[in-house]
Amino acid sequence: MNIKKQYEVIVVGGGMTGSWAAKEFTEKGFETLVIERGKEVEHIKDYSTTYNAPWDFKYRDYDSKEVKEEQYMQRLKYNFDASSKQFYVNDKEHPMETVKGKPSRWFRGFQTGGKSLIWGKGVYRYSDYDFERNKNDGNGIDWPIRYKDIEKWYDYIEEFIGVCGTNEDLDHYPDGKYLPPFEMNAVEKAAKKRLEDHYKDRVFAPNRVAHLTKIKPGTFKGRSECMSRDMCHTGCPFGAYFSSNSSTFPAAKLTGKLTMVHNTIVDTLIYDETKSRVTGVKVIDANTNETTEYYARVIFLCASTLLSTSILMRSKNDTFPNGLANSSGVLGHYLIDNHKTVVGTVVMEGFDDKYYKGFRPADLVITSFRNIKKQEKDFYRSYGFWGGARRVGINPNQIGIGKKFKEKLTKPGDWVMRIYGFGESIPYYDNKIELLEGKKNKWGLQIVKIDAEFKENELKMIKDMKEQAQEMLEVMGLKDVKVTESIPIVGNSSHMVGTARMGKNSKTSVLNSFNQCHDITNLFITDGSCMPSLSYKSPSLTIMALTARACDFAVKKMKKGEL
Amino acid sequence: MERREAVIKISWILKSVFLAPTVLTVLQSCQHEVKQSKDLLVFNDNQDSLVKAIADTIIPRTNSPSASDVNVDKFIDLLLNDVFDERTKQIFLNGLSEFDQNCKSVTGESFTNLSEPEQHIYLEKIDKDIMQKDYDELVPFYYTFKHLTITSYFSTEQGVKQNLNYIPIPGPFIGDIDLKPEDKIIIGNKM
Repeated sequence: MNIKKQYEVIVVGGGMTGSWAAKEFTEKGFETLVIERGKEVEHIKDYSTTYNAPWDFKYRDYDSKEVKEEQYMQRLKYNFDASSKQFYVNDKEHPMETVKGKPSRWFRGFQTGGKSLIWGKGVYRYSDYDFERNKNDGNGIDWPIRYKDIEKWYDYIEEFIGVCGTNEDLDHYPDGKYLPPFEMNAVEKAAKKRLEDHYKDRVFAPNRVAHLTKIKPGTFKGRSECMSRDMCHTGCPFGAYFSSNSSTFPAAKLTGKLTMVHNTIVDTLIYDETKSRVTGVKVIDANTNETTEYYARVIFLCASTLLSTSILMRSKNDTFPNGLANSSGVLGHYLIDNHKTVVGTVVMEGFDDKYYKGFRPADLVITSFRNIKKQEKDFYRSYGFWGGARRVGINPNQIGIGKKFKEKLTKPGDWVMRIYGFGESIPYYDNKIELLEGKKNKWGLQIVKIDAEFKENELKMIKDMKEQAQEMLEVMGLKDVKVTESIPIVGNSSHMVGTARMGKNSKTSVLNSFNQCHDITNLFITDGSCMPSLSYKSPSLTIMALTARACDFAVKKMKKGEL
Repeated sequence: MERREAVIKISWILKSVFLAPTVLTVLQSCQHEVKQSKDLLVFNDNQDSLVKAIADTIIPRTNSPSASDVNVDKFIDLLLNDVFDERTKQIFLNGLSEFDQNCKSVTGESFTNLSEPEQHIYLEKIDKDIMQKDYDELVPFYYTFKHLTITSYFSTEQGVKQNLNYIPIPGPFIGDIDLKPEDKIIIGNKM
């Protein structure tokens, strides 16, 4: 056992929220250690595939038998391919379990930046309608904060990461600090008009995404504008989308206060019963299995929803026999994900002489229109659609062979509008994770079992989503409307949150309104596990804002000597 | 997304009503004696010639390369070996064999023995029959073959650069431009 030096702050996890914690603490002058369980990925230098063409890959966009075996789950992610597989874990090395009849997926990226290298980049402010959803329909517990508590942190994050989009003046879809949006194409402009003329309650607008579209010289240090390659999932050498690698970690490094260790897995937190505080972490070297202890005044868990909770479960002791900081008993429960099952397409006629240049790495959004201000349907919560129009490229599925056909193949095909829905699920106590007794991974750590499913409420919502997708596509284009629905699978949206929720009451929540454990004041959790509910909007911006807000709170307390 | 390999769920093959069981036996016994080239993993030389002939009838040489000029046959061979499971591989190989038996039944000749114009006429009819129908999960052999040929061709450097408007770094996205009749598909490095 090695015993290493004392830091002021330890941040567990070098992904999206961990990098924010690192930036905030180091910029305030605190010696900070970031512990990342995966490999080091240095911005630009380690984006090994980013300039590759399809023909540079032996199997092009197919997964070899070896990849199918080693990354059997990760490969199901939409942006997994030969150019991005290095940013996803090896499933054989990192197994998980599910429950029979309740399929679930768990997409993971173990490296500097975590999943911020391969995320969807959608960033949305939650409105008070989102924060009050639990309270109003009685499912789950009330959020301990409201929009006014987080608004300035949304501003702060957006200004740093760079978000492009439009202001829409909708109270359920709060506006922010935006760079110019990605342009819409001719078909999308026409579809927008048709949709918004037909429905007074729906907006079809460029998505809000963490991309630099147009920036002023000298802003967004070290980053530049999007070159519309749509190669984000390989890492962007222009730093045009927000990743921890391109943005927050470089800022933290500049301070000289950051120490970062890689390939280092947190086994347990070290708890001092006499002081009711955590004093450090016990870690395992992923390569050598050697164990080490690091100490700090304050610990931030930013290891991802399931992994931060797993660390607390592993750290159980006599005081907390059901998991550290779990006097409430809710740790591991109320796991939530968005369901993403409805996809629809329509062929848009009449724009044969129109095209676009570049490959826009972002879609458009149809903002929520269900159950917003009052309960009006036979299901709780709401949903939105995303999508856009493209011309069909190389299309082998048409009649023809020979020279003329070869020529025809090279011409842009039909315009197809495609939309897909994301729906909010209510929080359920019995959607949960557990650590399996007796089943361990190669580092001797218990394997996580996900026991979660979408239920009747979500299935009712999906039915409505399907009907609305059909209707909206008919309004947009009429021809060849096709709407399909797949089985909803927890984890498939990569928006898993909950399992260590915030709340006003220490009997029903793990964290207080500043992401501080009710039970252990120098322990904070600011990744997705803190969320008591999940809107239909992706949680990324909200957990980044909550992280910066929690850091600000902790810094003030530390300076006063209260932490 | 679901795009990759969706089309590979071939478990239904073009069945020829003209096919006599005796033809099948003769053909199979012949194939066992054919030796395999060193640079092929799955196909024997006969199968490879047949794959090249069908692929080049779909994508012939013009002022840009044909399918076999850019080794589409070798890529399909590689996929059968390293990517698809054993069952899919066998279904594909059976489909290839049945394709040729069908050709023999209809024309009296193996596809590779037909002249180029004859190959075109024969395949055009098969193509129309197969491609005009809608399929769910199960698609006929030829449908899969055509898909593999075309997508493989347009994932090769020459297939892309000599036929399409290849722009790997387009610059800021422009949403609305006019398309002229001579304009080609703009393509980058995204797979």
